[in-house]
Amino acid sequence: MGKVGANLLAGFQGVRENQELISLRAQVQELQAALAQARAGELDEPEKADLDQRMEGLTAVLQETGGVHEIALDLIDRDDAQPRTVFPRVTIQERMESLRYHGQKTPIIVIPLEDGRYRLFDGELRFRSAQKLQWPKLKAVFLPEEEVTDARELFEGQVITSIHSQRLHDLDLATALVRLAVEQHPTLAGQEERFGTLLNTALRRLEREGKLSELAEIRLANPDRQTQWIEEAGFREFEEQQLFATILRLQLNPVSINSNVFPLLKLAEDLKEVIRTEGLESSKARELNRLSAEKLNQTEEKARQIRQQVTQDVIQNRLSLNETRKLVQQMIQAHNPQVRSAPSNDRWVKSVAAIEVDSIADAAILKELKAALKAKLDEVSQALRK
Amino acid sequence: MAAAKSGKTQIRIMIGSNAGGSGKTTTSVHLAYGLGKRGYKVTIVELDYSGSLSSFTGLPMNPTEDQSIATVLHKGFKGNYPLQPIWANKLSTVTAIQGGEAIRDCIREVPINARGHYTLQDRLLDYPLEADVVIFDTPASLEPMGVMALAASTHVLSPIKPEIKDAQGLFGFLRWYDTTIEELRLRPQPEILGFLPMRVDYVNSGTHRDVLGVDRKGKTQSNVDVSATLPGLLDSVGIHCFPPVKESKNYLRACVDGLPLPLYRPGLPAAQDFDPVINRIVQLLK
Repeated sequence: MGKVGANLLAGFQGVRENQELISLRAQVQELQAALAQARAGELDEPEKADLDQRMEGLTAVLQETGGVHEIALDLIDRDDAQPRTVFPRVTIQERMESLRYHGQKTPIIVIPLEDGRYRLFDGELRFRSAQKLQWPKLKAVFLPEEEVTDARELFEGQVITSIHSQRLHDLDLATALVRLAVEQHPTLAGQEERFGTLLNTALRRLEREGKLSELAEIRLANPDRQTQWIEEAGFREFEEQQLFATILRLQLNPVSINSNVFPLLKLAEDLKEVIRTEGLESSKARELNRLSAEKLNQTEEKARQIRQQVTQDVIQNRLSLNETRKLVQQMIQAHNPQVRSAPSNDRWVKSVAAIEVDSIADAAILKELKAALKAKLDEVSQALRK
Repeated sequence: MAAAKSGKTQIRIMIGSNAGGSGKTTTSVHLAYGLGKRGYKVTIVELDYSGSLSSFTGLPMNPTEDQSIATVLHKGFKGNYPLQPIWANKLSTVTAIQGGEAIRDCIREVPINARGHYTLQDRLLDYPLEADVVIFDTPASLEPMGVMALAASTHVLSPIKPEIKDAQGLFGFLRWYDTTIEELRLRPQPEILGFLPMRVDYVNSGTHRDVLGVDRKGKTQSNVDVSATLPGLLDSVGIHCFPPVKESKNYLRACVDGLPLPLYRPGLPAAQDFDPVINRIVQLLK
């Protein structure tokens, strides 16, 4: 190719990229609108089905352009960057049964690599189930490598799809958010340990300033509006802004990330492992995490043994959250008698303090809350009089 | 005023490129003449203040504000378009609205008007121009007059000189086109009629041959990778390439007389260079 041709090709690349970007933005906008409706409960069944259908659209497009191929399982590599690592055994079991009886309905999406192997883009569950069934092959469609050159976008895409289909466990979401934040804002690298504190501090400040209730609307707003809000929200640290940008861009509420998601990062490694393999609920994992060396007054090794034993108990006997909490408390008291049942009283005080009054915009709910609190107060006064 | 010939929806074409000297006014004038000659009612709207339209049409060099498109864009316009017939002794179908210095004020007003970029579109909707085809001759810089023209257009035609710099300018124009449609949420979207290689000299210019992928005779080169030529690249995104309009000193000479080439020198073969575009527009009108 001559110099002129090379020059034209290079310049034209910009036209193509711009078109792809615009078409992606349009798709994302449409999906966002549909998802916002879905969240607000505005979608009826046919509309929900339509949304699912559009999610499958990518597979269909790829099928049309590249056809469906049968790929040997041993040529497929899992994507290490895949944000979803939690696959409870029972889910895999279900999928195995479904594959065995109905066969593979939707092709998985793989990225053909230069060395003749394939990287899995979508379909991890089908892939794992097929492995267990000892199937030799799976049906797959190809996602061309040039469309996924930007690993960051690929990763973000996976997080978004997984959140949307609600397949991502809170623990995976937490890990993914940390990674995304650092990839989107490289200056955050090395500060990952601070993320929880940063978010918490920023939220407390928003709460004091009465801005917490704005988050519900802002998380569904378009990126420009979100950026504007972040700039005007009065954050002290630039890192806070960056963290909020990452969370809001995924339409997540920073309040629930702060209370339910980020705390999971502090779980003991063995508990994280149980979440990944057994699908243990995060609320129970957080209770079990209280079985620490310090609280139990034991060595790290001994504490880990106790924790594992209780965890197995919780899983095998399908203990409820309440039962788990009691069991944990019993274990702590058994090993460390100094710790009386004080924490449970403390817990009530904490949960009252945790009510985020500023985040409740609805006057009706506020009134209801006021009535409930008043009734409780009367009960407390009565108990004291006795 | 004669009624429009076609009963169909008005075709409004933005003539635009992201480069100076690409032959936008030359194209506007020759399309207007060709369509007018075939009996269609055409109005050229000059959105440029350079006044280049006057040279091909014999209209006054410095139109007053009343004679300019500025009066249409100002608040308080009541539908009295300052239409001026051109080449009136030969045709009764072609009129023009000039641009000129008065446009400068309109440019300043665009950002302060609530529907700034939609002003021209609104005017044509509120006070329809009685014409089959309206041609917007735009300046090389696209903001804000190009945006205003695009919002009012049904079609876009991009004349470009097949030089490297101009080709890159065209790519910039295409990015601008896609992005502006998205930003202004134009529905229906103005459609790209195609691009028109202008002032082409494949006998003497190697660059022209390489950009268009042709030999010295203008024939497609067999040993060339089409996907790395301008027509091949544009074809890959569905944009048509019209046959080239060749460079000719006669355009300059015709221009001095205030005439389009077919009126200035009817027998010249070059006078038919615009026919493929004209035929395409006629097809749209049928």
